[in-house]
Amino acid sequence: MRTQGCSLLRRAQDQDRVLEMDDYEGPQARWCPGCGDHSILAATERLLKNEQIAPEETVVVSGIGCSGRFPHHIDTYGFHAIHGRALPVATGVKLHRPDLNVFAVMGDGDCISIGAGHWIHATRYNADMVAMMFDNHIYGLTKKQTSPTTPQGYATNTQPHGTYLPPMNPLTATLGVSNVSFVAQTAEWVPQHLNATLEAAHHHEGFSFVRILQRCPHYTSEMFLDAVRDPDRIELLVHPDGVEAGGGLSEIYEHRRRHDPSDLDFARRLAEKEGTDAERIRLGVYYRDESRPVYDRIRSVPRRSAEERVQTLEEELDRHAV
Amino acid sequence: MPPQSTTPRSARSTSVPTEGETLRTDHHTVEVVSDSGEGAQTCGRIFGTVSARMGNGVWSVEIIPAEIEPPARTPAGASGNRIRLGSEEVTNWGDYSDLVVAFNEQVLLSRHRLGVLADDATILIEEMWAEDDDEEVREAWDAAMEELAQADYRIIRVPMEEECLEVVEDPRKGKNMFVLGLLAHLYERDTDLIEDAITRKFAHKADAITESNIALLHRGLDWAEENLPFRIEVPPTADEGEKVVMNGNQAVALGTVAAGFELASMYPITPASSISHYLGRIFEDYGGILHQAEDEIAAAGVALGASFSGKPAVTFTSGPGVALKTEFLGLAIMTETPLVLVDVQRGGPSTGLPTRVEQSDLLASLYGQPGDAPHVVIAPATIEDCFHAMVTARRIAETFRAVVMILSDANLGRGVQPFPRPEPEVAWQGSPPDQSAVPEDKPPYDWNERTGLSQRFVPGQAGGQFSATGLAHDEESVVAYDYDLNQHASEMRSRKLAVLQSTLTPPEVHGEDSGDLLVVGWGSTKGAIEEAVDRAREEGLSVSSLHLTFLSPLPPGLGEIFGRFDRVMTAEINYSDDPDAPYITEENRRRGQLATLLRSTTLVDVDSWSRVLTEPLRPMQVHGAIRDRLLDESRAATTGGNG
Amino acid sequence: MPSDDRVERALEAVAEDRDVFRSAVAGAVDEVGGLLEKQRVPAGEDRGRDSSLGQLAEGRIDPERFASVLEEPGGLDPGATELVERAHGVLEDVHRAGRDLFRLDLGADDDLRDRVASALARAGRAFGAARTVDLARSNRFREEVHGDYLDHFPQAMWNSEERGVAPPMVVRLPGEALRPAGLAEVVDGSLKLVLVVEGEAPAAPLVRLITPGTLVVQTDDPDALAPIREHDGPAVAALLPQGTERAARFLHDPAAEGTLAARLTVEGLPDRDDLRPVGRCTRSQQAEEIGQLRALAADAAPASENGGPPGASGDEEGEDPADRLAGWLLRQSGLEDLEG
Repeated sequence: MRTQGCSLLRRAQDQDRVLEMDDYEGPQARWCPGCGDHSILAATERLLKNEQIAPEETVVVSGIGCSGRFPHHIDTYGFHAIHGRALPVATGVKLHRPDLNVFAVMGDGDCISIGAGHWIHATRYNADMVAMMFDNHIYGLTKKQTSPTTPQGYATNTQPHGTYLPPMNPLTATLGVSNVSFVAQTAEWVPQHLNATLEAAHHHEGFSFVRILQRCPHYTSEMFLDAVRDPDRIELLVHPDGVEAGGGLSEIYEHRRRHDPSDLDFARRLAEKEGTDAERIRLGVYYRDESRPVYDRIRSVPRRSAEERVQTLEEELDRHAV
Repeated sequence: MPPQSTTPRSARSTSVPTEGETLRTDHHTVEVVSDSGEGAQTCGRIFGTVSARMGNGVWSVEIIPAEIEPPARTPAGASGNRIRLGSEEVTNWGDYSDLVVAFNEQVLLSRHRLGVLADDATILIEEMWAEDDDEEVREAWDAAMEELAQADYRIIRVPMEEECLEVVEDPRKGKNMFVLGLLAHLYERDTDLIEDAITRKFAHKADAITESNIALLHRGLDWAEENLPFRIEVPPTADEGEKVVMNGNQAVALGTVAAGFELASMYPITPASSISHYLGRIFEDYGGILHQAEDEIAAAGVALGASFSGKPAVTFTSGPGVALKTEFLGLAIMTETPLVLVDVQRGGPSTGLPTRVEQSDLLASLYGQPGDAPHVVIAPATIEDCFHAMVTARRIAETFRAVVMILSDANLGRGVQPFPRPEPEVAWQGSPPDQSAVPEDKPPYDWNERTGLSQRFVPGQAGGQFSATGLAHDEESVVAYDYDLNQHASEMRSRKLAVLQSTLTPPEVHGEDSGDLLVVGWGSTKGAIEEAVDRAREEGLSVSSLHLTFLSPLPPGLGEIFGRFDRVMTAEINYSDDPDAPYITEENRRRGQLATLLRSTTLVDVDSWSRVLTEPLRPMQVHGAIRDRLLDESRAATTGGNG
Repeated sequence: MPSDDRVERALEAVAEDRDVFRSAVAGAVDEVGGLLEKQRVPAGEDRGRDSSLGQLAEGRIDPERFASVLEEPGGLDPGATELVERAHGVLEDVHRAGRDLFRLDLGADDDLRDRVASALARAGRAFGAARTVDLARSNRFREEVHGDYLDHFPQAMWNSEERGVAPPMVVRLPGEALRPAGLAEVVDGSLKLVLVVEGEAPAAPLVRLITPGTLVVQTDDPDALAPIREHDGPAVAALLPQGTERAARFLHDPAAEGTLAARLTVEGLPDRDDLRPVGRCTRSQQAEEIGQLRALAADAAPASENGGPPGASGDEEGEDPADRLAGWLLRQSGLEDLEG
């Protein structure tokens, strides 16, 4: 896509280089051993390498929580912002510099609790970025408090008698927002699927919301244990316009459902039953619609040189002249 | 020119024109009030613009009803314009209105009850209501006239409707032009200029509309000629310089463009929103984007994200919005990402007085961010400053990797004043950030040990990749767990303010360099304070004033200047305890916000006089406070000096 | 519709591409201007004044003290500064050229390819200027290698980033000059080329330019230029005089992914008998082009039995018909060396 914002002087620098994995690797990540974030970090670096995206043209914006440390561990530009507010910052970056590749990294509390307002509106703005919501169903960094996705009855430090309310369903909520254009779910323990999903999200022009189910070995080690151990607990949504069961996935996961991501009604029905006992965890692209207005694209305006701006300003001042 | 009278004008008396003669004065304040939708604002605006074009000083304020569609003929519905004319530059809205034109007695009553009219004001009132078919209307008229008769107004009844019917069929549309004719006669305004303004105003409508409006104007001129036995002359002072006229919010919008901002974000809030109304209309012609965010917080976040990735961005808001943006301000300061915030202050706390002026955000702006958060705060004093502050703010924000807050207020935002036409320069625009590769091993916070300044890296610069973070961090932006590092980084962020302060020059004293009393102000009150000081000096009082544009850092030399005066007092539009009120002692007295700041930074016993009357300061009030401090011996003895 | 109006419509169709190029140049003008500003040593009455601080700073900020606290940016040596100044001048030139930059008028004898190439080289001076600045400030500028970057910077030298913001071109030309041979090498990256044809036009000259990624449209309806706007890759269009009957009308739009059938829409195909020679383009040449277009259209249908040139050879099964056509065309014109 032809984008504005990139300096001609920067374009002049010859970019003929082949990027390798180590071009993206930051300092050693400091998450707990076994934390799902390691896998997501590797998948993101792999995506950048596969797509040969220059690290300096990539901005990873995060909020607060374990996931918030993500940009510190990858050698791109990053903005480790404040709790719940990765999305406004990411929107600002994309709006001002549509030439950059923007990733927003959030946790479940970060995105759908304290940042809920921004999440809903970012979905509607549909600015071109990949929004990754790392969902481990718990507040980890602050030590095991109930998050909006903690299962009902699950004991935490703030609700020791068991979490009072049924969890929020981020998929149905996102699918209910006007101008939603991409909703997917994947899991960090299925790297092939994670890679394919991030790739589809990156290729989608618009706001690609990816919920990544993520294990927290420290506080909720048992949370996804069944699904990790038993492929029978998982159903893949497959489609050429979404994610296919390639890379050996079809051998492991027998439950596959062909779901056309352009079918919003059915996507909502699939998402509605998510997590109920009778249903399996579904991984795949729920919804995708490239025809939705993309905020940074529709707001893009031609740049004016300083001289032109001064001229136009003079004309405007004429209107106020006495 | 200060008034000739040597007695204070606290008597609310004005220069009253007498029968059959022309009153020459250097100041006169006129207001036009009507029901909303009757066009008093258009009338007032044209009158103000034409007066400015004729070389008069002008300060206009809009009279805004509290509701969007108030019921007709109610005091709450008063809508219009208040225009203060002067022979020379008018720097504030003045004291009281000397002449009022009212379209009905109810809106007039509201102005009377608010106490904004001079005791002996001249009033021109539409008389049709006296003979209205509706008995209730006639009764209301009688009651109002009775109430108004208690004052010393000179009331002149004008058959506006009747006269307009001679020209048009529906006088509701066009009565304002008839009134404009009355004013044009009374103040001897240039008819060609008025016709020109009318033609421009209705340029997009049918010619017949322009013609009938001009006919109404002449009807008003003729009627006044025949029936009004006096005129008022405010002789203009010739001034060759080109001028523009606008309000402070428009000036901020144009300043945004002049300063080369490319992204502005906001969430609707009174009284700042009109900045975005204007900018929304013109910004794209300059390659700019105005983003209306989902909330105040996101508006700050979007501006910060944009700033991080390129040229600094700006966000507009008012007090409650500043509260919400606070966390992002902290992030901007911690990550040293340039950001400009404009706060058009209103009354507070909480929802407070959305449409009314206050200067109560000063301390919150300076100190309202949790943690140590050094940043720059500047306050425009005039509408012209609102324009130019944007350029200076962007430059400082960028150079110092700093947050710059600009404190405007509802008085500046809504006030309309002519000022010298800016001559925009390419250099004001700033250039896009350099995207050349970063030399190897250069850290993102390469603090100069002396100045704390460092070169900012922008996405796109190869080799400059780093993760900005709100966590305490070292030069590499690596999260710091080391105690010394936090001390050092805090020092570097703070040092920048001292460095900026070292480039500032001491402010100039208005009046004598030394004396009995120095009145210190900031922001929009400059005009009223200086006019008050001039009046007091005129009557022989030894008083001067000082106005502060930089509030953080404060300019150098304040202690030295204060030392040359026996007493120092601030005049502000924020709350302070009256020293004579019950329970109030020297120890527990809450002073004006600037006074609090100056006492802590200069160790001078700065007194304060402040009011929160929901309106701009009147010169008369400040004048009264000066007299109170200097002439009331007992007060002079107890409040102590500077000794 | 007079050709002036058609040129307007063509310019509109590439408005976004003009904006992209002009935006890039406008940014560079300011960026290089800023770089030069930093090199400037204030002298005379400018000393003690820093207009970048704005008018509010007058009497409030001491410009000399302000300058003294700023770190000296890496200064350019005088030679480099002079180069950067010249480059800035070129950028300003290109930027000021405005719409004229994207417009060409050809006579009957002009060579389309050469003229387009030289217009691109002229606009491309903006890229040459940016390169010059980049080279100058990193001390890599060599006069013998980079010396003419500011005068002439042909498309062949543009890198992929620069091709991404290529200036579009709208060419007004008489039908006789519509000889697109050689244009194939020009139309790449994201270049948009619209040929506004006056008078009689050959029947289907653009057929030779059909490749899988290239949008090709030949039409007499300005509205039919719309797909150019949406297309991110290269595009070439011929806008014929309205009511043209002796020329084909078709659209090859890569946006319709999949087979050639999906991509190619032929709306009008003149009869062989109606063809007339146009300039040096003979009836038989035109007939051949029409034949090719017909063959492509036929090939787009499931089975091609007429043994026509493209798509006939079974050994290339599975290959995209347009690739086969391109190969066939290259072989026909003896240019097979260029293939692959």
